[in-house]
Amino acid sequence: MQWKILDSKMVFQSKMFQARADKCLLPDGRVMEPYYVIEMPDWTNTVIITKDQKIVLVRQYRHAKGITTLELPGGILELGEEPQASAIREMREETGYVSSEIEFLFQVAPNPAINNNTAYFFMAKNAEKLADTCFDPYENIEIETYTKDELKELLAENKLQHGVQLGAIYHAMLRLGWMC
Amino acid sequence: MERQFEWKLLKREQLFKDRWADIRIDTCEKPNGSIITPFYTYQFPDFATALAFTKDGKVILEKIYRHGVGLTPLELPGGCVDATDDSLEEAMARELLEETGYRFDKIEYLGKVAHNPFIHNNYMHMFIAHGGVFDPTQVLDEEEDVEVTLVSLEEVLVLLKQQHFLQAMQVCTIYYALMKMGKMVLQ
Repeated sequence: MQWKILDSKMVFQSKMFQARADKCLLPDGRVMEPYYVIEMPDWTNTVIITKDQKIVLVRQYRHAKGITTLELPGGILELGEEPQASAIREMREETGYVSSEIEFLFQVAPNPAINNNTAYFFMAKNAEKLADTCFDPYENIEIETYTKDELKELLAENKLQHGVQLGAIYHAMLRLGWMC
Repeated sequence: MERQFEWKLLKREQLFKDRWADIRIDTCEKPNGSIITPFYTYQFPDFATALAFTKDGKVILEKIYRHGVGLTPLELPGGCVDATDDSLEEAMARELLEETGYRFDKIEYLGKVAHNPFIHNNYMHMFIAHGGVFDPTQVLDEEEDVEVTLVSLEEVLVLLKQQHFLQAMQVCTIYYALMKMGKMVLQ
């Protein structure tokens, strides 16, 4: 089923993404040109569970969708950074929480037809708020914590609205025994 | 006073526009008065996806090549909602028929979630499709090059736990469907 790339050129580059136009040969002999691949950076999100068994979520405005969301903390990988190291750094910078119990949850492709990137998810248990937060200039965020019952209510009412993160949240709840 | 999060739009331009690559550039003012520019939004149509069951209870999955990542992962059927679709259910039924050749007794809406509200402007609509029967007269959408495969729900649970589903939004749909069916329960 794989396509063969006959030609490929970058048509736009910025800090957040780059657009690549491929000329592809399909298995049935058709040639697809151009097929745009939007190359985007990999990112991490972390399900942070505090010492008193609450999940840490961030509330922020998302201009692309025009809504204010509750999301898992996280951010994009810096050049050469390993996903787990990035998750630990983002957790500390964005929420001030630290934990020595970090585990990998899973990884997914946010949009595999058109984007090339991967979202890595981790879980941090017994986390404590020890560090100061250090926001990026783009970020205007509120750090909030929710009990297991409150999280169940948020999910039941469909109030968590970052689709890429929802599988990871359910995955973490399975691992925590909050769901079976 | 409640904290203000929303940004004010000052200017909007189109960076480029293709069928699947449609990117706009906004200049915005944040509540604290600072200016954000350029803010890129990668525009995408709403789409629909379903955990779809045949009449005898098998789940309809597909293998499809995804050039963004260069892999052929296992996926749920689905596709974009068209302006000509009368309802979301109709859009889902049309996509299921075009991709898999199955027609369904009942298409049950589970809700919508934003795709990735940081960069996209669209929603995904989630469904469970019940009672699928293959229509041998249906001409499948050849452009899609989809290989349909039927598995049991138990196999879907194993595939999910072993992380064989690569497409993030479909993982979300599977969990919503399993919750709705009572196959997974919050404790």
